[in-house]
Amino acid sequence: MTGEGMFLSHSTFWSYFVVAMTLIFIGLYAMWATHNLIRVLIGMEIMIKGVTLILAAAGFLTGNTGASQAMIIIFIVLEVVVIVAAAGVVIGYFRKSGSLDTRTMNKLQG
Amino acid sequence: MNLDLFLISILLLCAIYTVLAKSLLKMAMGLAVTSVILTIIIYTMNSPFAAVFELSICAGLITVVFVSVISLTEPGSPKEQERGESQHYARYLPMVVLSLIIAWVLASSLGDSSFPVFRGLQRINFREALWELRRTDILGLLAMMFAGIYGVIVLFKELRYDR
Repeated sequence: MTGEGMFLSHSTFWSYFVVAMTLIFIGLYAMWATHNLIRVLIGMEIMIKGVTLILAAAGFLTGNTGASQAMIIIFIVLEVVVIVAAAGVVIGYFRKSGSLDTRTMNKLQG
Repeated sequence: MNLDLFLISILLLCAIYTVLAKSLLKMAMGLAVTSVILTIIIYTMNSPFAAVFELSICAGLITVVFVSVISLTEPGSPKEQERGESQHYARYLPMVVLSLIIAWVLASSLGDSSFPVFRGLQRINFREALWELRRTDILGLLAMMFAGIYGVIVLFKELRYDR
């Protein structure tokens, strides 16, 4: 496969790559800076947007949108499962402790 | 400025607004708008199926999930949900500066270099890719969905101390 490679000089891929990396950084920072569980989930969503953008850009620029669309759809379904399960955890934790603060989560028992 | 650059700039601005918003509801709305912009970008990249999924699930379903979680958890922290955390902007403004620096460093270091493109998997249509190439992933997704549904049922059921 590597022997069949070609190179796109001055590719537009780098602009998508830069924005995707910036989105991943923004999401990571949002997860790191906050103590609110819902903000953590939204930060994770922004990171996922960055990954989706880079998948779509890679598929488009290699002319392989079939594989990239299949990957994106699988990724989106996985994202929904993770977010819904995490939302369930957040609500369950809120019912138990009455708080959304991540600093109190180490007091969970059983 | 061409359309691609305009759209990805708007995407970045929406993501920054989402993180900087004080109210959690505004954050959820900002995330939905980010998803809509990403949908337009994906659609312009000749990926309509992925764009439809992104619009219906990420901009629709996940926003509904977030709004439900925010409304269910509001009684515990109404002040924080409306006004944000303590020293909100002081906490998040370094993110804007750092993200702009990262974007500038990446753009200046990668802008002129070439991007390798391989042809090994070209000309696979969407149906073949999803139902044949990714068949194992589909089975894994089904298992994940059942696990997620079971987890939600367990987590949402009435707890003893709720009564």
